[in-house]
Parts: sequence; C-alpha cells; structure tokens
Amino acid sequence: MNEKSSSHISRIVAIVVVVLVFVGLIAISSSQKQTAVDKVWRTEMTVGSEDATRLYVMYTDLVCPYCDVFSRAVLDHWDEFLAFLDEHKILFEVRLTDTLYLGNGYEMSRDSAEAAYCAARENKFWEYYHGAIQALWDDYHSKGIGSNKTATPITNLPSDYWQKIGHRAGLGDDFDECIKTHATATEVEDATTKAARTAQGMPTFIFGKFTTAGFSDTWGWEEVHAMLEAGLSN
Amino acid sequence: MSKLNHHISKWLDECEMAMSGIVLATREWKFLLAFLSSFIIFGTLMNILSGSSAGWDLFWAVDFGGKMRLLGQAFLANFGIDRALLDWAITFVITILQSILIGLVVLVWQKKRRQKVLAKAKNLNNMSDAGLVAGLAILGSGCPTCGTTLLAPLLGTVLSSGSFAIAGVISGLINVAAVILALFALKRVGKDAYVMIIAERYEKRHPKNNSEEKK
Repeated sequence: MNEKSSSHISRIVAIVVVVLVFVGLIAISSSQKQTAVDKVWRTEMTVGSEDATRLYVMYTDLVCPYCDVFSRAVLDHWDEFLAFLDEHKILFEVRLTDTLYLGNGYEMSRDSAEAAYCAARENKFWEYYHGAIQALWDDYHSKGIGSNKTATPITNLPSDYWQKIGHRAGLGDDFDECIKTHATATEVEDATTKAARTAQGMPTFIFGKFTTAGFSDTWGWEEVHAMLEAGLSN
Repeated sequence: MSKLNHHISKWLDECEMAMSGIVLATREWKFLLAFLSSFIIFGTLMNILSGSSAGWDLFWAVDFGGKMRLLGQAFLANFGIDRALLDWAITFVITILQSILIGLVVLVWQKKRRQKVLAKAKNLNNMSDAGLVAGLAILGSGCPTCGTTLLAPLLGTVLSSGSFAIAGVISGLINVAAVILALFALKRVGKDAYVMIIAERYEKRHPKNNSEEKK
C-alpha cells in the first residue's frame, strides 16, 4: 500500500511540475511583449525601402544552421525579397550576434561575427553576409555537416575561412587588419548582450507584431514569404 | 543473489508478457484506431514544433492554404520526408512509443470498463503516464544549441545568459526521460493488455465450462 501511495504521489508531482512548466511558458511568452522595434541598430546591416514605414528585424548568428536556412532562402530569391520590401515599404535589418559563442563556446561564431562587423565598417556587409551564407552551404551544410541540431558539427574550419570570404567580397588590407586586431570584438559583444534581452534564441524574427523564434530546416522561400506577409497583417 | 535472480527473472517475464500484449493488441481495431490517430496527431505536432515555436506561430498567422501546407509537411515528416535521418529517428521513436502507449491505454480502458474491476484508479494512472510522456517530449523539442527549445524562455528568465548550454543538456535529458517513462508505462500497460486479451480468449473458447462452474 505504501509503495502504491508513493508511486501515486510521484505521478501527481510529475504531472504538476510539467503543467506548471507549460503554464510558466505561456505566462512568460505573454509578458515578454515583443514591441515593434522602431530604431535601427546599424544602417549598414539594413536593406529595403528608403521611405520605409515598417521595420523588420532578424536576430541571427552566422553559424546557427536554422538561421542560415532562412538567409539562404532569401538569398536564392533576393530579387523577389527586395521587391516585397519595396512594395510594402519595409526596412529589413539583420542584427548579427555571436550568441552561439556566448551560449556554447563556439569560437567560429565569434570569428564570423567579428569579420561581418569588419565588413560592415567598409559598407560591404551584404556582400560579406551573402558570401558567408553561400560558403557555409557549399563547404559544409550541403554535405550534411553542421546543417541541423543532430548533424555532424563543423570541426575543421580553417583559421582564415572568414578572411577569405571577405576577400571574395572585395575586401582588402583594412579588413584583414580589423580581423587580426579583433577591432569589432566589443561591438559584437554589445550586440549580443542587447540581443539577449529581446531575442528568444537564434533566429528570432520581429516582423511588425509577428514575432517568433526558430526556423525549420525543411522550410524554404514559401515559409519565408508567409512570415513576411504575417508581419503585414498583424 | 537468488532473490536478485528471482527479481530479474520476474522483470524479464513481465517484459515478455508486455511485448506479447503489444503484439496481440495489434489485432484489436480499438488499439489500431487509437494508435494511428495518436501517431498522426502527435507526430504532426512534434514535427511542427521541431523548429521551435516558429511552426506553431506561423500556423496561426497564415491562411487556410498555408495551414494545410504546413500540416502536410509536418505529416510527411513523420515518414522522414525532407528530414535529416537522426533528427527524424529521434522524433519517430518517441512518436511510435507514445502512439503504442496511447493505443494500449485506450484498449485497456475499454476492457476494464467492461469488467468494472478496479477500473478508475488504474485507468487514470495509465492516462496520466501517457500525458506525461507527451508533455516531456514536447518540452524537449526545438534546437538547444540555438536556444530555441520550448524551455528556453523559462531557463532564460531564471538563468539569463548561461541558459543556452544548460538548455541543451536539459532538453536531452527530457527526451531521454520521455523514452524511459514510455518504456516503463508500456511494460505495465502491455502486461495488463496481455492478461486481458488472453483471459478474453479463454472465456470465448470455454463458454460451457464457465456456465457449468457458475451452476
């Protein structure tokens, strides 16, 4: 009888804990109102309408595989993406962080972010960003390496990987010097700290009143477009 | 040692009975209906949530056609379509175990209701175990490395920046806990199903003996 009672109690405790966790999640989600972001962090990392009335924000990390799925879908439909932004007067901002370095110690997250910020200093952020997304796909993600949470992680990244991407984007000695001296380390750290107050993991999207976190590796441009549309209707 | 051997032997016997119970249950239409319904519904939900809350949020934001497309993709993902192998395998195992468990719970519930023997308490225990497994499996979904597990907001509130690495560990532990709980629950409910099905078969084969005993 005692064994049955303790088993019964354990079951009740477990159910109560799980229910409380779900209730807690709902309460936190409701209280963390993602207000419409109306101030751009860095104009070099934006694209879209010059007379924009809406700001769409994506918090991302270059080595986050699901972030890259979204970015790659956008890159593959870049003209359509730009046309959508222009038609609906949207300014789209990428807020690049090294969240995966902060949370998991992934050095390549910090290195990639520093290089991107170095490129932004020379007004070549988008050339660099697209180059990085394409390079990661060609060298690793298309081969099933680092492409999702259960894939073999990227372990053999060359030390000059991000530098070479910059060179292909037309960056030169100033870029190399910026990377070598970690000139943008503080900017990256500040951005990541600021992002941690708002973002619910990587990627996080704040498209008007439509906010969400995560992206599936089975999704593509249709889902990206649906998310962009969702920001309009809200 | 002999006492330990006895316990192990008894445990193995019960596991064998549970396995036999699961196999026998597949011939009952109530089990199959509950199993298939659970596989479709739970599996689709798990796949929608595999990309964290984005799938859920997007589902409610798109029109009817978009909703059907998302559901269709998530349903096909049950069979590994457009899913990475290991990613799919983990979700598939949890979904199959959960579906078998729900199928058995429904079958045993029906049989116990008919027999009216200690029905209510045991049925509630089985239902609560099935619910716990489902709840744990859902909590463990998402990408722990990127911090987009369903648990992440809760951990972030409590632990702030240190939560990502911990979220990964906790998500893994929760998935393991869901599988272990499912296996224990399957052993118990499978054994109940085995006993009931065999007893029913005996009664069907020996109806005359039963009526004579009653006299």
